[in-house]
Amino acid sequence: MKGLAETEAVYLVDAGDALFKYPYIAEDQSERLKETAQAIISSYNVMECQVMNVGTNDLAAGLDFILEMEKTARFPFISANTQDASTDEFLFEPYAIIETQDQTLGFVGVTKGDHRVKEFTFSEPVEAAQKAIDEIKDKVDLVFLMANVDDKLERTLTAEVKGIDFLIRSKSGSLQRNPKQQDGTTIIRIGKQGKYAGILRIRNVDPISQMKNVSSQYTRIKFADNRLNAMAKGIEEGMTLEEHFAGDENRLKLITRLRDERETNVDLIKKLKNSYFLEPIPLNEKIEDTPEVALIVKDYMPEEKKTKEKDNHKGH
Amino acid sequence: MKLLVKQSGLMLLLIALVAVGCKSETTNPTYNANEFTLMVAASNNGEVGPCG
Repeated sequence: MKGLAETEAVYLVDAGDALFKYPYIAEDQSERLKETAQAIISSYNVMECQVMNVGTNDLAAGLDFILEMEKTARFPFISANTQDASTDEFLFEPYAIIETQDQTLGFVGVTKGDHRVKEFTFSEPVEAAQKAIDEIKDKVDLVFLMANVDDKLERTLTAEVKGIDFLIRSKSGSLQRNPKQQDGTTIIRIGKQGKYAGILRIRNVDPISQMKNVSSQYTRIKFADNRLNAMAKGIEEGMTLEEHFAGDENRLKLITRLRDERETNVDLIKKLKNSYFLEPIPLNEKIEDTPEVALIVKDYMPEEKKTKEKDNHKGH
Repeated sequence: MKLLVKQSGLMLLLIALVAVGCKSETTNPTYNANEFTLMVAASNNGEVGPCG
């Protein structure tokens, strides 16, 4: 957005349940679903994913498979509370640290667990999360808890675990466009089935100021931009909107009002030391794909989906 | 049927979006102090498919 300096540093993180839909897979679908999971990891490698919290559903194909996926991945798998049932050994690192240009970000992962997931046990998530956070809190500027949990456990985590700045939920059901605060923690819920990607922009200047949600200000800025851009369509090159609409009093008033509103909101955001906003991006046909990743997905895509896709294109 | 196909394609779309984000980081390395962006994925549920 013009007027608001935008960061170019983008870090992909996954909060869990990327690989499978359920905590179990039917034997006759096992190979196909595993290939799909492999495609997701390969794609995440291309996308330079930074960290993946291992959700309960990610364990559906068993211990050997998830460890094989971890080896394939060029990014860390984390979980502070997933254990090998046969040895009680914790299987993944409890956290990962990402260094941005000038920030150190800590990501801790927990999952609720499910008795249908074989070969694994899960230690108590509140205790596991707190232990991991305590280990990193002095080394990082912000703590993100990647929580593959239900609503009840989410509430328990925010109430009982100290030191979480953002709780990023998977297994959340629906998208929450305007993130809510719970016990001083900001909850980010992006929904399910990969319908949305959440763009979470964060400005973190000092460790004391409260993190403010500026989503409404960004929405107003975007609205003003869209209106101004729509009016600018088709006008002569080099001409300002004011020059083009010189004889139209109402239109000139509208332009002034939109510009003023935009500036007010930009100034307000700039004055805040710590702020964030969430922009959910619907992953529809307007989003262009990347050839390298398209090839990976095409190779792994199940045959019946290829057929459906072909039929779909024929229908257009 | 159309809806099902569309949903199945979402993963790739996400991939595309993020790949663009990552690319911009390498080709245009301008940063604002104390600012960063997370591209958050959650509960993809094993969805993979072609771009719409």
